[in-house]
Amino acid sequence: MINLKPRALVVEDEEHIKDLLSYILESIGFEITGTADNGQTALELLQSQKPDLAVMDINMPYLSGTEVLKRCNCAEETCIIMLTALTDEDTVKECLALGVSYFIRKDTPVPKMIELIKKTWENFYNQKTETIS
Amino acid sequence: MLNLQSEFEEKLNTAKTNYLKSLNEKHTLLGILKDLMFKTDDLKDENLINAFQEAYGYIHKLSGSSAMFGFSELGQTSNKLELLLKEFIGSNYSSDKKIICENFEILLNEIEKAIKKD
Amino acid sequence: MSDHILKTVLYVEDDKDIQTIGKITLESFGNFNVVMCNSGKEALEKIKEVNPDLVLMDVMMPEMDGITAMLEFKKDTELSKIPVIFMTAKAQVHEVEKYNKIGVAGVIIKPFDPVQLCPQINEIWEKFYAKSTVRV
Repeated sequence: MINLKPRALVVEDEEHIKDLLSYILESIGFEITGTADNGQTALELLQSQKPDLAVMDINMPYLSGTEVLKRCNCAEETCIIMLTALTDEDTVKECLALGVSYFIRKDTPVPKMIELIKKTWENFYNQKTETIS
Repeated sequence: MLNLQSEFEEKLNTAKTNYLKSLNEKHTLLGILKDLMFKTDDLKDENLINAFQEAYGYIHKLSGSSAMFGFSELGQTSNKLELLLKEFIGSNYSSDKKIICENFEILLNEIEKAIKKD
Repeated sequence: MSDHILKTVLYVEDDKDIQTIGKITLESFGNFNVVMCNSGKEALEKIKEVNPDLVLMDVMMPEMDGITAMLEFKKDTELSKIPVIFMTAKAQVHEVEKYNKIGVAGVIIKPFDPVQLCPQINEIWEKFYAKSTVRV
């Protein structure tokens, strides 16, 4: 039986945010295939699981979100949404160059966050399907 | 469809309840750390240095999470203190300690307010 | 291929986060010179001085929305020549028709895909000037 739900990875070191993000992603139809609370585990899971989407905090123990992206080079296969305060333009620039699909601030109200994740995923999926066809 | 929506809302509410419980715990922990941080000015005291580092870790997490759970004032207060602490630790504990103490008090009050409001 | 060169973009957006992502995307991927405005009103104040090649404008903004701002540009002979692209989450068929009727060059859906934003803008730009050449 083929599992039709897109697969998501949640990378966040604050437990309550990690749970909340998991609920949000499940509510919009994703299956959570893994969670990570540090950059090293995030890197391993991104490489081994190759999820369809990953929501990743930029500030994490061991490896930052940007470091993880540099090492795994996975932004073409995985829709990467970075959680960031968006205060440092150089970091945003670096993330964009690494193929990040979009950015979300942690203080975004939950309904808006859901909308942003949904639409970012739709953009990514449509783009990927067009490329394949 | 309706069931999924209410299931999701229930999960959100549970997440918020758990978060409030953790705020209670953080309040206690930060209270203990505050005493250690401002008891002495002796920078050779390892307990003092560790307390600052540990407090920074908690406050950094608080900055990120409180706004996400709807506690925006708490988010702003903890963000301000996070930046002050970062500067203080970065300056090798030499910048203005008094302002950190004051903002720490404000933060503890904000946490209490957030817990009581809900 | 148009002779018109797209260098300066007047980017009108009230959401600070979208401003940050948009501006960096336009500068990094498109090499554009970006001038930011926080509102339709500010865009009206700045547009003559900036003299942009293109206006990229959010539709839903407080004080003065994108549609009203664009209609104001249209009242001026010189400003009405500058192509305007709307950025909006509201892009149902009847809404896009409305935008086309008032002479918008193109519509880009929000939230935009940073990777696609500059290619989309360039595509609209080329079409805009190809159309005006045909008319002549």
